[in-house]
Amino acid sequence: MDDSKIVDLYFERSEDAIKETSKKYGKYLYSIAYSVLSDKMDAEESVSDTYYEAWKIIPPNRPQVLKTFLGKLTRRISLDIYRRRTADKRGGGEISLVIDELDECIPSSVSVDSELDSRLIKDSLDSFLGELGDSERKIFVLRYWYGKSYDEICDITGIGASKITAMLYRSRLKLRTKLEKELLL
Amino acid sequence: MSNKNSEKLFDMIGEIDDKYIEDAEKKKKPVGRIALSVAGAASVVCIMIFSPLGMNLLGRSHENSLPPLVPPDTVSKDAVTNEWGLVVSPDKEETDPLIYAEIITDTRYPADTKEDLLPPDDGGNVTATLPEAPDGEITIETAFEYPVDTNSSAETGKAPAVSTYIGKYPDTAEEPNLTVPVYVWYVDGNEVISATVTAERNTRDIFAAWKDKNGIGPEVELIGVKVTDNSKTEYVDYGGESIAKHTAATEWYMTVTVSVELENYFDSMGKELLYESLEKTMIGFADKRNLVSYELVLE
Repeated sequence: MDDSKIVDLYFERSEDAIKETSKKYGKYLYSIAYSVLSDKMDAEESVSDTYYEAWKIIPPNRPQVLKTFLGKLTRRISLDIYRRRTADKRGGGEISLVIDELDECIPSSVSVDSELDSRLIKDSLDSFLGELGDSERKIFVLRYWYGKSYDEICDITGIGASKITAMLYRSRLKLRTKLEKELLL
Repeated sequence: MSNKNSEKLFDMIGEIDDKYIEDAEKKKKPVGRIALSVAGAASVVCIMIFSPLGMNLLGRSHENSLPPLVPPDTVSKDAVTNEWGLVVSPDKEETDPLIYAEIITDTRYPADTKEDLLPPDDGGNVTATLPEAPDGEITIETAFEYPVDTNSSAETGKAPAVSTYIGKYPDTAEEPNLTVPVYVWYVDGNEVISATVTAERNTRDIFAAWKDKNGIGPEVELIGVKVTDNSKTEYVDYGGESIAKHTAATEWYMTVTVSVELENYFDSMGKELLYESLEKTMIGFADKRNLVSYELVLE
């Protein structure tokens, strides 16, 4: 079913909205959740919560691209579950490695608790991605948006693991340099 | 550097432009596949399915493990166009992702009119519409196709492995019910025990299964089930754009409302046991952890 028709179902408050969303995007959302949580039950919970949240916020929101709208919701919800889980001293998995790698990207003078710096970082991220080459950008997003493992990135891109490691390292340094330049102005 | 900062950066990366997210997903076709044209590949796979060689190959496991054979998720016949619609979603949890999804074939038609390879959509599902089906049973054959091993030098023309499911579907205008095994708790003498039944996974059918197992009549009705939680979504204006900040639920509350006729069964079955069996069934169905309160209301 076309995305606009699915969104119409939400506006009509028809329960088929969830059914159609699940049919079209259920597996996509599950793969995002599983990448963050590495746990089947938690990933299923995250996807269920996504449907529930989508139901609550559509309307009034009318997503322009339903897939990425839902994907972002799932990613956010999964991160909340991950934080709750790590507070309970459970879990770990690939995503803790992904987050550890991002340590290298934030200049020491920056605090992401500061609202001003947070806004500037968000602006810089899109601009940073626009400056990367196609392969570099794709690999960066697969690793740090989708939370994919190195093996999964190899399968998707056809690029060897050692090259991916090198490209991601260079991208993280570039991001740090960009943030240092833009935030310290 | 604090891990909290990197978690927040990971969070912020979630809000990048949609186009970067969509572009990253597009998969690169392995070298082995590009060497075959779509029509050529279809012919290869069709020959594989129907030839003696193909029948031998079907039983062999591939180095990229094959998914389990699963039937299509839904098969339905459109009442207006009289066309059969098919959605197939192979179980990919434990296997490598598919590069091509499947060939949909219909054994009523000769090989040379079969559908071309159909790529999956972004959700990994393949939807196909088949020509008008005659009344009665038809046989639909689906095949999953996998890439040649991309980590070794791919041999041009090497036929990929396939797995095949052959299913028979009745001539019906209704979508088949998607029933699942669920636990229903019921009163047996002085205790509450569970049984596995198949039911559609919704409150109405689960409640009906609970009544059936407890021998409760149609006069007792489920009036409603309400589940609320303490999640919240705040909208922050950021540079003219509204950004949602979501806090996931940590507590859930469930209220089940049943018609007052349930009281007629208190003497014969025991009020506490009956309540316990219903609570366990409804909580089990809801599958919610962090359930803080459950309440049964009779009205």
